[in-house]
Amino acid sequence: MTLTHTDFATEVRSDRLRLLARTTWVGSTALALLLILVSSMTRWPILPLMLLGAWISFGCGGSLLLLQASRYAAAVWTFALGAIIGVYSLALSSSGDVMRLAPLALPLLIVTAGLMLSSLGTVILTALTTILILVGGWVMTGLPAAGEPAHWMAILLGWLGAGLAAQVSGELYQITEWALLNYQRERRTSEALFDNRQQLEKALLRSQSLSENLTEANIQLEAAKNFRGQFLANMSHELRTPLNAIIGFSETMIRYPQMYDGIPLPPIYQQDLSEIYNSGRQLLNLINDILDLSKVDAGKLELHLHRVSLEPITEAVLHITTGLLGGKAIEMRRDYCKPLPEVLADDTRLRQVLLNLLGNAVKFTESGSITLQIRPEDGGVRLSVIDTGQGIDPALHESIFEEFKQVNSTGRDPRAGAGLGLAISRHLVALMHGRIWLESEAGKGSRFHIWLPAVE
Amino acid sequence: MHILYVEDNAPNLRLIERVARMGAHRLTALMDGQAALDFLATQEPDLMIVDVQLRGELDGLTVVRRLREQGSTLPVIAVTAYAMSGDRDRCMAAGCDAYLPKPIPIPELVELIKLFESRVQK
Repeated sequence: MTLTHTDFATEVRSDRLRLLARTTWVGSTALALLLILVSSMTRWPILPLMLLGAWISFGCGGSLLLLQASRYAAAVWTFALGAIIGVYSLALSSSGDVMRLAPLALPLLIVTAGLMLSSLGTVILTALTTILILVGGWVMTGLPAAGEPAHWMAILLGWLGAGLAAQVSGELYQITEWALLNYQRERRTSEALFDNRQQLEKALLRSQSLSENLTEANIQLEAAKNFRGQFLANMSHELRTPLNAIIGFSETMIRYPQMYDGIPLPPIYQQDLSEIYNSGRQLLNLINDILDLSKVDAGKLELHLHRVSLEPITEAVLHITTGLLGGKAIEMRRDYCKPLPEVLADDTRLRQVLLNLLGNAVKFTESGSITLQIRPEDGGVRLSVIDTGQGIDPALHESIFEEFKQVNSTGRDPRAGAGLGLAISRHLVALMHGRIWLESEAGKGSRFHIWLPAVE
Repeated sequence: MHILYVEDNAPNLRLIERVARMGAHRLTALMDGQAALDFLATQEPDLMIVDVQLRGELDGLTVVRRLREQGSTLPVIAVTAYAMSGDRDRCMAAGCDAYLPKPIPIPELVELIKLFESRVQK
C-alpha cells in the first residue's frame, strides 16, 4: 500500500480531532454543569447555557461517530458547526454583554477547525461565520452590522484566524510531505538492502554448494589418480613376469651356449633372437617409463640429490650408446672442460636422462657424429648432446617434451618410440633443480642441453 | 653347489634351471614359502634364490625373516617384479644378501652365483 502525503496528513489530523472532540465534550459538559450550578444560585438564565452545551455535545458526538466511519471532512464540519451554532444560539438567546461578546469566541473556533480543514474549507467556514455574525447582529439589533464593535472585531479576528490556520496547516502539509518522502525513501533503501542481503545469501549458498561439489570432485580425482597408480603398478608387475622369460631366454640363448650343452646357436637364428631380445628390452623400458611418469604424476618420484662426479656416469652411458650404434657410420665424441665439475644430482636419474638423450641421438642420426659436450655455465654445469641427424622444426621444440608428443611428419620417425623418454627427462631434470632445452632446425641436427646446479 | 629356488612361475623356473646347468649346480625348485621352510628344516642348500611375490600365505621376505630368526646364515638372493624404489631396501632389511629386479639380468645373476660359490668354497 502506498501512502500519499494527503492520506498521511489526514490520519494525523484525525487523531488530533478525536482527542480534541473528546476533550471538548468532557470540558464543555463539565463547564455546562458548573454554569448550571452557578446560575441556579445567581438566577442567571439556564436555557442559553443548555443550548450551548447541547450543540457542542452534539457536534463532538457526531464528529466522533463520523471519525469512526473514517469520514474525516464531515467530522471536522460537524465539530465546527456544532460549536459555532452553540455559540450563536447562546448569543441569540442571551442579551446584554453575553450577546455582544459571545461572537468573540468564534475566531477561536475558526482557528481550531481551520487547522484541520483544507484552505478552501477554512474560507467557507469563515465566510459562513461572518454571515452568521452579521445576520445575528441584524436579528438582534435590527440594523445590518449594527455598529457593534465586538462583532466587527470577531469578524476581523475570524479572518485573521483563518489566515493563521491556513498558514500553519500549509506548513503541516509540507512537514508531513517531507516526513513521508523521507519515510518512503528510507523504506526503498531498506527494501533494496533486504534484496541485496537475500541475493548475497543466495550467492553464499551457491558458492558453498559449488565448493562442496569441488571438494567432492577433488576426492574423486584423487581416488581416480590412486586407482590409476595402483593399476599401473599391478600392470607393470604382471608384464614383467612374461618379459622375464622373453628377455631371459633370448639372452641365455645368445650369450650362454654353455647352458645348452655347449651347442652353439646357428647364426641364422642369432639375428632373429637378437630382435626378440631388443624388443623385449624396449618393452621393458617403456613399462619403466610409464611407471616413472605415473610416479611423477602422483608426486611420488623421489630423488636422492647428492654430490655426483660426472666422469663415471658419462663414460658408462657413452659405452652403452656406442653399443647401440649397430654399424652406423657415426663418430662418438667427447668435448669436456677440464677438470670435470661435480654436480648436485641423483646419479641414477642423471644416467637415465643422458642415456635417453644419447639413445635418441643414435636413433635419429644416420651418419656423422654425436658429441657429448660439458661446460660450466651460470654457476652450474651444462651437458649437451649434439648430433648431425635430421633435426627438429623449431615450432615443435616445446611440445616435444610433452607426454606422447613425438615429432612426426617434419622430423623424427614416430614409429621409433612412444616419446615418453623426453617427458620423463624433463620431469627428472626439474626434480634435480635443473632445466632441459633444445636447439635445432629441421635438417641441421639437434642440440639437447641440460643444466644442473654445481655443488657449492 | 646346491641351489634352492622358490618361484611359482614355470617359465622362470626353467630359465634358472638353464643358469644352474651352466655352472653344474644342483637345483631344487619349490613353489611356495611354506614348502621352502619345511625343506630348509631338514636340508642345507648353499644358496637360496627367492621370489618376493609368492602364492600362498608366506611371501619371500617372510620366509627370509623366519630363517634369520632361526639363526640361519644361508646366502639369499631376492628377486622381485615390483620395480619400486625401496624394494632393494626392504629386501636387505629382511635379511637378503642380494637383490635382482625382474626381468632378471642373466649376466648379473651368473656373476652373483659365482660370487656365492667362491664363498662356499672358502
